[in-house]
Amino acid sequence: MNIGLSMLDPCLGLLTPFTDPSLEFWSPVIFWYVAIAAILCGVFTLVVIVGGIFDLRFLFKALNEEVTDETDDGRVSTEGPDSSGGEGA
Amino acid sequence: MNVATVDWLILGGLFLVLLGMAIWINSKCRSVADYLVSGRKVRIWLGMGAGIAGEIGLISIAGMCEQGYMRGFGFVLIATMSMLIMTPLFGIFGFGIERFRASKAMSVPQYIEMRYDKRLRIMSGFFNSFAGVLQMSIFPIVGAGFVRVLIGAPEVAFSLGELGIKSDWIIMGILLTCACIFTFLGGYITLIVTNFFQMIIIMGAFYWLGYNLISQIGVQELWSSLEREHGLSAVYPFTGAEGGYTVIWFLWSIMMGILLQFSYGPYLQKYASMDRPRTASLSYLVGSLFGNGRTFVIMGLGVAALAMMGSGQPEGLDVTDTAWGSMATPYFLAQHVGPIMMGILLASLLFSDISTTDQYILSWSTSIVNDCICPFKKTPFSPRAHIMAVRITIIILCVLFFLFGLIYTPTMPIWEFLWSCATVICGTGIAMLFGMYWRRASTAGAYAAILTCLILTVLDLGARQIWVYRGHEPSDYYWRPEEGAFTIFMTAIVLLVSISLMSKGPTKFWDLGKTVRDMNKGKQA
Repeated sequence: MNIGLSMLDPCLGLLTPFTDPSLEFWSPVIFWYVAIAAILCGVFTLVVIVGGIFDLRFLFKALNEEVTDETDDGRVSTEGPDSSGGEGA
Repeated sequence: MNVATVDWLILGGLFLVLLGMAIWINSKCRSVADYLVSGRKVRIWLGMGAGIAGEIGLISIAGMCEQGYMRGFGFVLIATMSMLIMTPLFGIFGFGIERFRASKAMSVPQYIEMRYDKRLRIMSGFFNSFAGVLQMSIFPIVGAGFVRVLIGAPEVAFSLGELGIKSDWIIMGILLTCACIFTFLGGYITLIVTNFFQMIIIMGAFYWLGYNLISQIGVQELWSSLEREHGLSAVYPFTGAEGGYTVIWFLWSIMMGILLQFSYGPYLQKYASMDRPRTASLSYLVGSLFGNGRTFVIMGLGVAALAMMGSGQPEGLDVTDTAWGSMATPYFLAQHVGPIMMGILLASLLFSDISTTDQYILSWSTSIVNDCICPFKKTPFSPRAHIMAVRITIIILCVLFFLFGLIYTPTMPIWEFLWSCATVICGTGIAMLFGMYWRRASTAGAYAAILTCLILTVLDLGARQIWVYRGHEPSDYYWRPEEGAFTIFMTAIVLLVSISLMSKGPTKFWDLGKTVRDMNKGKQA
């Protein structure tokens, strides 16, 4: 029983920052988290910009080659969305 | 004013470039699906880039700066805990959003008609559009107030007889006109492309500004000031302080976040425009993993204002503490941002407003036309007339927002107002969620969920107004707004489940999971 409880100690210790929060613990944690997240977001934005330029080319090409469907305007056909799959409860 | 000629030139030049782009893209729009969901051909990086701009509205920038100034980075832990739940749910498992894309619906109420019935579509379309439009109506005037303080414009620009024309009204008119032009031209195609380029300007401006401010203040001074002013609550949200965050607040915010992914028109229209269901969930995954960094940079501007000015008002200003909280950051930026950077900052704020407003306006206009007008027409609109109907609705909404801004006087906290509107919309989210995943969810149950969220929210809101009218403090009310909203959600879910279990007869459930798998493998378009 005692062995079981002592094995739980490290797990309970992880909760201490929440049960007994202190500025000494949370201040550096949040500082580094904010700093790393901000830097990663900046790098990620560059990736999005490069990827987005390729996707723009795809979009315009696809729009030029598109065969338009005049019935695709938000209406629901009376046959139902998927006649093969529709079933009762 | 704090704006030099070169700043106006930068602002005007960037605007004209994007306007030229919008006019050119307009020629690419050939069908209703092109206009409303970009022909469903948006891939992941483009969708994410445009999504970033769509998510950073002027009102959210104002809110984040205010949060940074008033509470430091206390919100960071909450955002992270929320991310740990939401990101796997939507980003990895594609919960709901992949199924919505697979249904090929353009709007939430369209799916409601597919799954339940046409009358429910009209009802949910009406309530959602009304709540969405009402929620959005404060965006332009609040954003205009932020810009006015930043550029140092006087409160009253000029007088017409006895009527003082406020600078806020003029700025609001300019913001709405710009958003209207971009939405009018080319619809969602224009919006996706211009939002992508606007994102580059917005992110570039905020990172440049953040770097400059940190260089001026110094990292050590910034963080020490934050700790000095706010103590533990600057970095840890659950300090138990009056009006602070609680467990119920967290549960409510998670639940609302989940339900809005199933019901908030602008979110779902974005998913509907993606080329595959997997693209929708992937864009959520990557966007949410890196989105927090963006929020922290913007919040950091408020923290910088706190470090440089302290928490008190400068001499000569006489505004309430609440008003000072929202104007502190633009006031600080007006003092510390030089020429050229001010022009780029103004352009980024203008574009952040345009990119959000145009996405939301297009979404609600689509819902009004598709879900509240088209179902009553015996013969469908021609594609040209359909697009024209959406465009006319866009203009009407812009005029309504402008008129609302003219008479707007805050009588309740902004967030409380926004949350109440969102609670109404969440009723449709409950019907959507159960409709997608539970075979027995019935039409009667869906009606109950949607009406419960509407009626109980209106009653709660009315009761609070009467409470305040009788001279009580809003904070002394029997329960907090989030406790009320959480109870409403639970009631709606219990009603939907119990009524569905009691209902007999078939439902229109169909297995969207199979469609998702087929579409992701490229077997279906």
